[in-house]
Amino acid sequence: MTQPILHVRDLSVALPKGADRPFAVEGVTLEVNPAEILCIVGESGSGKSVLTATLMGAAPRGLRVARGQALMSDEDLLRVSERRWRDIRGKDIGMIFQEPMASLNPALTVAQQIEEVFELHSDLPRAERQRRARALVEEMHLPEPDRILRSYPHQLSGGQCQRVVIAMALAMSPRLLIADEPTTALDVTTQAQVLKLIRELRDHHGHGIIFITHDLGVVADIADRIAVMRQGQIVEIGSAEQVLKSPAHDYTKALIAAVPSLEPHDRPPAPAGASALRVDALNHSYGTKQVLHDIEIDLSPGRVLSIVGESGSGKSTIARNLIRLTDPSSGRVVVAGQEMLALKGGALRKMRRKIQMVFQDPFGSLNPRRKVGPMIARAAMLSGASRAEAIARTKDLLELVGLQRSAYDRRPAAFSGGQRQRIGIARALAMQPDVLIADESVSALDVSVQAQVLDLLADLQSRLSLAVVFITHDLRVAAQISDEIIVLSKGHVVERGPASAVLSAPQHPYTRDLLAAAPGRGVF
Amino acid sequence: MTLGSFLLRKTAVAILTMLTVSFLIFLAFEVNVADVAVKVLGQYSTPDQRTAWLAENGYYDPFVIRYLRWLGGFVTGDWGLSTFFRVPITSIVFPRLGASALLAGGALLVIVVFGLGLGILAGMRAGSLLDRVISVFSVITTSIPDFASAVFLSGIFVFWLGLLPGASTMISGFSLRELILPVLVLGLYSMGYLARITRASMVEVMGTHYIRTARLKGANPARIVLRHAMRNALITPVTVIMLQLPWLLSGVIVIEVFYAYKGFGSLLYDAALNQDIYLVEACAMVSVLVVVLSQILSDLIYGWLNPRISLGAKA
Repeated sequence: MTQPILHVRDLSVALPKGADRPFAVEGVTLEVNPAEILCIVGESGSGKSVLTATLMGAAPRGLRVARGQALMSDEDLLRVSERRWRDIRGKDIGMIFQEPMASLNPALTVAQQIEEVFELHSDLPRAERQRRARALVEEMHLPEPDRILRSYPHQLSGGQCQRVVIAMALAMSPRLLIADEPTTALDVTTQAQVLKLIRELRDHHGHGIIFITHDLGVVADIADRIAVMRQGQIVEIGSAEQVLKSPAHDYTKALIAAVPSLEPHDRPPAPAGASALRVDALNHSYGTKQVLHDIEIDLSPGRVLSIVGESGSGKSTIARNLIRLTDPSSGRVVVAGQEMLALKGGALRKMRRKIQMVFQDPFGSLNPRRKVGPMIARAAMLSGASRAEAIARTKDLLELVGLQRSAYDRRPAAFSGGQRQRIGIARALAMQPDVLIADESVSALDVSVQAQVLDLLADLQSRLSLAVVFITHDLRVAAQISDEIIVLSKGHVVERGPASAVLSAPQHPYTRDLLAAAPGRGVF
Repeated sequence: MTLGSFLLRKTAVAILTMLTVSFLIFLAFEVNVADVAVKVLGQYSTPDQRTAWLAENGYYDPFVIRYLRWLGGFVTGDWGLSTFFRVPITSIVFPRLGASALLAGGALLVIVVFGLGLGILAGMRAGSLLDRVISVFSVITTSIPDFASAVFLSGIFVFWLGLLPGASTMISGFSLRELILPVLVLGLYSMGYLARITRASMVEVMGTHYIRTARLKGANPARIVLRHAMRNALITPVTVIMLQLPWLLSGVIVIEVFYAYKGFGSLLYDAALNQDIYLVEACAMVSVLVVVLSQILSDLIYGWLNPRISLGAKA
């Protein structure tokens, strides 16, 4: 039995007085062994990020280690001086972050940033530092290493930035690597590559890796052992096989049950009749760059169409064109029999209520200064309801989306992310639209909340006979909610069809790549 | 875009700006010919004298011809005679400009060194005692306009402590002591302002992910500030400094008049007071030139600070 790299014993981190619970992290005990990936899984607020920040000696201000030990070679990390920390960080412990682009200094080249680690922790001469930086970049499978080294972060893609961050973390071959949601901000295909890279590191270099994530699919792909965190405590810890296949704790069971399956539900075929939304030959260009090519959509009332694609595929541009936040270069958008693109001024405003949008960010899309009720009622009044009607409709809607009627008089700050997304949905519905566009509306939510919001959308859509355009990067989510799926790549529709056909028998290689990259395929 | 073509393009824009402004200046001062004659010959000249003078100097030619002639004179260095000082304008404008450059340069030094320095110190650790002291100090200096701080500082250093001279005429040659008060007064306001901007920018940068990355690489605090934070935090303050340059020019007028300093500002003031029309025109042209040149300079510094801005990408 090898000696663990890190041994955390009964660690508690106290929150300041007046927080919703006394400890951010409470009584955590865990070990990380060489050549092992320990995944810490939990939803937002579970304390997983506080735990790792504490292990790096960088806990947010106001938090205090109440008790416990974190032993690394007999040294207690919770009790070392800031000066000693500067030796440990980067040399014994490397860290990889969630926001690859933001984690790199925009004013320094990649070479400067990687070489700095050697400057800080070694006496290597300049030439040797450069040679090693180049070797690292090569090891990360980055194309054209010399160009990458000369580049500034803004000249690289998100996946490339993440590899650079990993290269930096690995420069001194630390025994322990802490990765905090390292692939959350990446596209699925990029994510699959980065996960593969991290597995390689474990296999070839024997690093012990703590991998934090909220995504059980990713966990299934990468974990050797799993610790499930909730409210600051580890509720279950064990081998990946054991935790995923026969979870002991109810919370773990619930988390696993909430992972959307890639198996689409059986859906009835599209009813014949007038379509709620028709898009013909939609093209869009930014300057000379064409980002959408001849997009065609035909959606009946009561149906859900998912537009699936990676970042830069043009899926959000479609949404913006549909509600005319931007105008397409050419094409036709017909909503409820009305040609949208020809409308102007008052007529356009009148038609706009027929096609409403629910946004991605539940925090940014609600005005923090306005009470929820009046915000929704105003939307209702814009669609022509009288004041009394609008208020009555608002209260009904709040109930419909699963909130209390008393939510009427509260401000957005009083609600969680999932509840805010419900408010956003209620606001969109207050206009009594024919078409609802949901642009990544559940991607900022925790899985369990995501499942609830998806259920809500499905329920509303069938009850109100809405046509829903659901824009997402997540195939699992698309599988859960869609009747039809369009796969978008670089502005082209590469595949379209009923959800079951696209997901179970994909025709286009790109769709197959997307499916293959979906994390946790073998397990969920 | 290469540096050469960037400079070429910027120069072209600068020339276009100068042409437009020069036309407006000429239009404002010389479209009314009769007025010009009164200003040059004085109120007590007779109508006959004026007509004769106007005819003799080609003022009855079409406006555009006169403008082009005037512009040609400017470009070739023939800026005419000052009606008040009775000497060629070039022979007074340039020495005075030099004197003001000294004053403004000194003030700029105060602004940049202390403004940036204090701002960075304050922003390094937001909320610390040092931060609060510096923040209060910079609020005080920005709350007092230059004409008021001129009075206060003179009150303290000249009349109370008797340490410094109250006028900066430099009548018996260059004197560093006479320069201290005007430089200080001119620099103080912008210094506090710049310190506040720099602090805000520094606080923001210190909270970014890449500063966290630097910390978790094992960099020490000095290195984090000097190598990682400063260059990114300077982008906004540099814009402010560059915008302050033209502002210094106007500050110079107040300060120079207050301290009887023989510089460009007091020259412009005298010229305006004495209806010295050609001198006012020349001063206006020079001022615009200074502004235009400072903008080109600021674009260059900008590109160096922030690699995300390719030179002239959005001119």
